[in-house]
Amino acid sequence: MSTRQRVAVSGTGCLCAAGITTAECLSSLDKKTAPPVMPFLFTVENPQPAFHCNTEQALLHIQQHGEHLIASRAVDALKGLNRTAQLAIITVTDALIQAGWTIKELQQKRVGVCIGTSVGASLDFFEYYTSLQANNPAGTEQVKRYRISNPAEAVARFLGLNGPVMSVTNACSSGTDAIGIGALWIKNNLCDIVIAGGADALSQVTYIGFQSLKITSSQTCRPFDKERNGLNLGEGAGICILEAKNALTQRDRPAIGYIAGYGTCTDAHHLTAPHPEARGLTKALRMAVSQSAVATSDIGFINAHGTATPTNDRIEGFFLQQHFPQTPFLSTKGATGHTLGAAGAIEAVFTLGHLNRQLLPASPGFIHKDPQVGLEPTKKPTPVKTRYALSQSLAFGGNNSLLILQRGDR
Amino acid sequence: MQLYINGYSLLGGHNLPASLLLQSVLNGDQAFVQSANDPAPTIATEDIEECFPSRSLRQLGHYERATLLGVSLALRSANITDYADTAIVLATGYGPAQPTFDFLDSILNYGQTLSSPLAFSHSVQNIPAAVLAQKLSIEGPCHTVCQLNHPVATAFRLAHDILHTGLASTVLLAAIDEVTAPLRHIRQALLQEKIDAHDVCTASLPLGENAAFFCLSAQRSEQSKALMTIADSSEPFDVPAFYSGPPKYAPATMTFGAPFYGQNPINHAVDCALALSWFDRLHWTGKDAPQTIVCQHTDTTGHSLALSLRKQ
Repeated sequence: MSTRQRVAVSGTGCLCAAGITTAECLSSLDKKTAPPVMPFLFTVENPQPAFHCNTEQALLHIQQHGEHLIASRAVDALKGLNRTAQLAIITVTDALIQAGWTIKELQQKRVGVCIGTSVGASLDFFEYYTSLQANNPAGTEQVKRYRISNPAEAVARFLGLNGPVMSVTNACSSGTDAIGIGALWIKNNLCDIVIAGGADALSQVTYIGFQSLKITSSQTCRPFDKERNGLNLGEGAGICILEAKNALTQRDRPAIGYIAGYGTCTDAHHLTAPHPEARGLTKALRMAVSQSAVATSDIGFINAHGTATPTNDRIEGFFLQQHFPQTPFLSTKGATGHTLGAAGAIEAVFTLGHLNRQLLPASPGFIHKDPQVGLEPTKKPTPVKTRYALSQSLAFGGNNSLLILQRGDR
Repeated sequence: MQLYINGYSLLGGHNLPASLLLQSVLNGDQAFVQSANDPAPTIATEDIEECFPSRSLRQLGHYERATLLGVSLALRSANITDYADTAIVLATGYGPAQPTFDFLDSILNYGQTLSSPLAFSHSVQNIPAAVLAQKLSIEGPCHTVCQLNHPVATAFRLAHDILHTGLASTVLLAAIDEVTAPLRHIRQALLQEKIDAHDVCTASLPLGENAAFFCLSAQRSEQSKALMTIADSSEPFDVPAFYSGPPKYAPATMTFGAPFYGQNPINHAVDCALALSWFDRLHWTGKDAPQTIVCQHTDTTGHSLALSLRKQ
């Protein structure tokens, strides 16, 4: 990104298995986090552990801490929506509370919404389809719910916004891409504020799909570990409120962080496996660096995608050895699971938190170094002294996206 | 927003050439108007095998084949053979619908533990864009926008941001949605409940399987066919204008193409392709080709976005 307009983050929201707020999630990462549990939102033939959110507690939190209008409006907005849209709205509400925005103030600004999702935009009406195939069509409730549950559109409708609305569906890099694209809207002066992030709920169909690919684990996942044998699915949402730095200064509020750079490239290699030499990820890194005023030597740590599949972690290890052999890195999916479209956004929020604390937690689930990876993530709380960090996501289809994040003002 | 359109192609619309479809739409030719109950013709994709070896197309479904064909034709239209520094943006309302239902079928037919990993992986929304990248060896940004409201204008906006930030020098923009049997059933069910489901279809309009593809750049070139900018959709237009969206919002002064080529979430892109066809002197339509054409789309809430195309 050029240096014309610095993109500041004025508030964040985070809802996942690690916690219901950004602060709670970061605190959980410092301790031993709760393991995944068998899915209880739906039934499956071969249950494997997954990471769930506590939406009831999250809703209670925004009711207790938000101004009355936004909290009551959020509760009303959840009705009739699917779970992904609900996660998005709850987390957006918390992020706006953190950023100090009311609904009335927002409606006087040019506000865009850019949300990454995977499950949230899928034709997720299995029960209706099953009844259709049995020649006994059920009521259309599931279909009607799908039609109003695109998370980006649901957020815009909830807040009464008229700015650009985008639903980014780039699989596992959606959240990272949504924040990168939202930052472009600020830089290009399309919006005064952008609500950017990702959201995805656990879904029976997606759960079955990932199991069919044989990349899930029946134990708690162990990113980068020698004994890793697959991922756990998770659900959640991560949201960043983006504003121009100048505007934030006029509001007399400090920036929680900055989006200093964004890069995205595709491997053009294989539809479900990354390039063996991380070709696309390397190009995306070069793109992010060229778009920012940051050199790779300025990067103090990396939030890796780290899904705990044998292939992903090996490829990321190759990439890190090539470009960041001495730089600490971690994966947090051992505490959150793989939240698909939300992952990149949740991890961007975590990365900003680590930057501001100047402290990395131990990488949950990691115990033993894998010689094939060649490096090991943080094994204990690790102090860092840095202004910049990298958060990267590798996706189905060969997408590779990363954000260069800068420490905030406080 | 400012984009140069250097090449385009149109698929669907009864598989007519763009010029003939344009002619029928402008002249109100009832011969091509289908009733709401007629099955929508699907996009013909046989020509894809002139562009790629058939073996390389194995495991690709209809949606992916149509996307690949449309982009290939648009690249040919723009005379582009070098794909370095190129990005892909795909706009869709539903995404790859049939692979999704194929995966659900595999669960119902064989059980969860024997469900099809191939169908699941092809049902992920960004896989068609990834197929484009893989088959054309394009290694730049690759994005998919999946939403029922304004997918096309949003995708053009993203293309603009990619080009003007220097993330790529060319963007291939594909807009496509397929018609599937389950979606037809859903349409009927919603109609019986008297729901104004314009994205599925209203009682008066057929569903249409349509797609349009564009090669875009930030800078003008010899190949540039039109300059696209955002128009003020609140003003009446004093130039020819196309409309897409719910019939109830269609202004009488605009050409409404859906009765001819069927309702589809990405019809905004179809209208842009028809406008480009109108500019092309080789496709004489019997009406003087204008210098500027506006394409407006209104979503289910009544919110309108208009794209203005000026002939280059």
